[in-house]
Amino acid sequence: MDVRTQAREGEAGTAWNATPILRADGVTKAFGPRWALRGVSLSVRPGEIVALMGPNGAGKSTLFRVLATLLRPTAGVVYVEDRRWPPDGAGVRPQVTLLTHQPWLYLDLTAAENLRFAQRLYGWPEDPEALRAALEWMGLADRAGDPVRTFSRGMLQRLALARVLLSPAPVLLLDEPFTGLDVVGMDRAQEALRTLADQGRAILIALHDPTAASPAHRVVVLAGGRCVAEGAPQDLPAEALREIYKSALRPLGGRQALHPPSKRAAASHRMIEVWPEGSARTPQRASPGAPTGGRRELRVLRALLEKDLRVEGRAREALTPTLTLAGLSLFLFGAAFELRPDLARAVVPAFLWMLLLFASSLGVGRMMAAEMDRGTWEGLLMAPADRSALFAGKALVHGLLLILLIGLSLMAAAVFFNLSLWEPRVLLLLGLGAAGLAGVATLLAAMAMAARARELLLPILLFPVAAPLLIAGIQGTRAVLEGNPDGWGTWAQMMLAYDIILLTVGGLIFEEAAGI
Amino acid sequence: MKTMERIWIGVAAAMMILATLAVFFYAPREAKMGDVQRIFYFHMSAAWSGFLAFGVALASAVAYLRTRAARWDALSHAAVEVGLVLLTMAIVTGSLWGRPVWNTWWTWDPRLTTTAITWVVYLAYLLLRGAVENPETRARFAAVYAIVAFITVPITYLSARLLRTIHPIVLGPSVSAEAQGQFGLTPLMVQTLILSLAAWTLLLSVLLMLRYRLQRTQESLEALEASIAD
Repeated sequence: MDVRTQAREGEAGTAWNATPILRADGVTKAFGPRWALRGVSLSVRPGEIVALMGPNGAGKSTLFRVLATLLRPTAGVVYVEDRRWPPDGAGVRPQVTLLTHQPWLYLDLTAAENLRFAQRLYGWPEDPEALRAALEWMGLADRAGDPVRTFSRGMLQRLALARVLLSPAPVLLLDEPFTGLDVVGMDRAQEALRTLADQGRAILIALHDPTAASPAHRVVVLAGGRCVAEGAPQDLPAEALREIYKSALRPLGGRQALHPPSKRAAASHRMIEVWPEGSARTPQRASPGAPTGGRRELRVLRALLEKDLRVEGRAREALTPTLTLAGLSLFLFGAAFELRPDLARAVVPAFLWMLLLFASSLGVGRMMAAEMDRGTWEGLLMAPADRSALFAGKALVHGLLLILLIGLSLMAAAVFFNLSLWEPRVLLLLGLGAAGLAGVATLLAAMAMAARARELLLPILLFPVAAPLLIAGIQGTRAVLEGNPDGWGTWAQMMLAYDIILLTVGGLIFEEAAGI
Repeated sequence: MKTMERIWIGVAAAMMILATLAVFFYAPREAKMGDVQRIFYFHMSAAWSGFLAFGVALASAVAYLRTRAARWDALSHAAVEVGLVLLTMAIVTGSLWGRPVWNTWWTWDPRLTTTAITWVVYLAYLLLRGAVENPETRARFAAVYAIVAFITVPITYLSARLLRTIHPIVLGPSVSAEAQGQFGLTPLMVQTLILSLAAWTLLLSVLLMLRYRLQRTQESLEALEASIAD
């Protein structure tokens, strides 16, 4: 250890000889035949801010997603404290907070509601004072109760940064954290980063602009998927970076260490009030105190349910269109066929089951597409819990939609077709159908909505898999209406078996279907 | 290796010829249906090897998710494609048989319906693969779908056993009084059936091997092209 690093250590209590808390070792990522990362190794120690710079397409965002467990590396490993990814993504996730290009905000929630949701989803301390202080620090205190829909790009970024301020995670991964910020916002954000580093967090920020790298202790330059240079910020001025960016077009053998890290200009920072100086509210390492044994999963499930019901209650993005379309279909069906009562009795129940399948495809597709289009899906994937909790949450919300739809269509059947289906056995069959559909549709929608031609792909995937359930439901309903108790029981048992198998498989496998 | 493959393909071809000869010249003519019943050996063997292929697809999908090795994804993909071809043959031969015996090409009988559902599910598997750009995501999604899709296979198997069906059951006693075209297997018929099943299983293994190798060759070609472009 040389004199300069010793001096730095004394100044802010940062252990420069400390073991790195975040370490990437030969991280390689291929997207098919294309290489995005080729053996990236870097480490960040507690209290250190490392700026990851590089030209467009250098692999910065890919590296961040690998470090945050959103992408599985093709080769190489990431260590966060003593956790190793892959395979222990669930162990790494609570230690890491990620800020991406997408702000992970729900437009129909207010600023404060978005932050509260993050606190609950990620299991952070649900402290209203800290929340208020974070909003205030980022200059959003007077907009806390406004829906995020009314925010500008820069304000969204400020709010996303406020979320980072609330995180107690020891590792912060911030991809372009200053994008869209004005001068004041930039100052606030940089000061916040220094404070967080002084608290012993390891911070990795990705940047294009060398002038924004001032809070960094060390700069690592990534180009063509490789670390090509490393040094102190002042040793890498814009001209030097330009040369490196250009020369990076040729593959380089290894990393060039330009200069050893040098002392950062000492500055007395005003502490952010989120974590006031001397207060007991220093960041807690998320892992030791985090509840285990299904409690984390229940917390995620609860956060997700509350959020989805609140968003749906305000925007009615899935509910209104699905119910309207179902009503319209029933109306057209009735008007077109003018069924005699005996025919209606035979045909309408089957039509209602079909309607349930179509509505399921539409509703679940809308719900998943809304998460994916706004990038919030990644935010959910970062929840420090088994992803079966996400499956359960989404399937429950979708199941509620289906139950509402069932209620309305039974009323419609009574009014328009003079057909009373309010019969416990039919309701049980419909319940079994809704449960199975909710599960399998949620699982398949997580994949279909991440694919091409997704609106068309989802029914193509869902209809054949759900067909046995649908047929059993229709046959069972018919058996009840015909007064055939034995037939009814067989169908109900088959539906139950189908539900149990697919809900279990869905919960186990959702991790694979939900990844990006 | 090459010699081994040639022997493998040769044995499979010989078995297929032998099984076909046995169907026409060794197996006895069925009393009620006559010669048309001989299509049964092709029908059942195609269905058996098709469903076996879906089993291979399921096992390789699970293996892929455990190991993330591209070869398991290639095998799963190959198995679904080959299985679809074989199941198509089972449906077509069944339809040809149904026309004289049931007096219809197609009927919405539980066994037929569930088989058709299986066929559509695995067709959707291929569509899903085509809709995902990133090879790794494609492999992951395909594996998930191959696992979920397999639920249609036991449903198809059980459909003729639990539900009222006109489809005959060969393995085990028929539970349905409505079964039409049910027949008792004589020892010669059983021998022919076993020979056919063995031959078609070998055929399946050869088709899987060839389709798998084609897939792997294509993947290495893509990797080569990418490294040239680099």
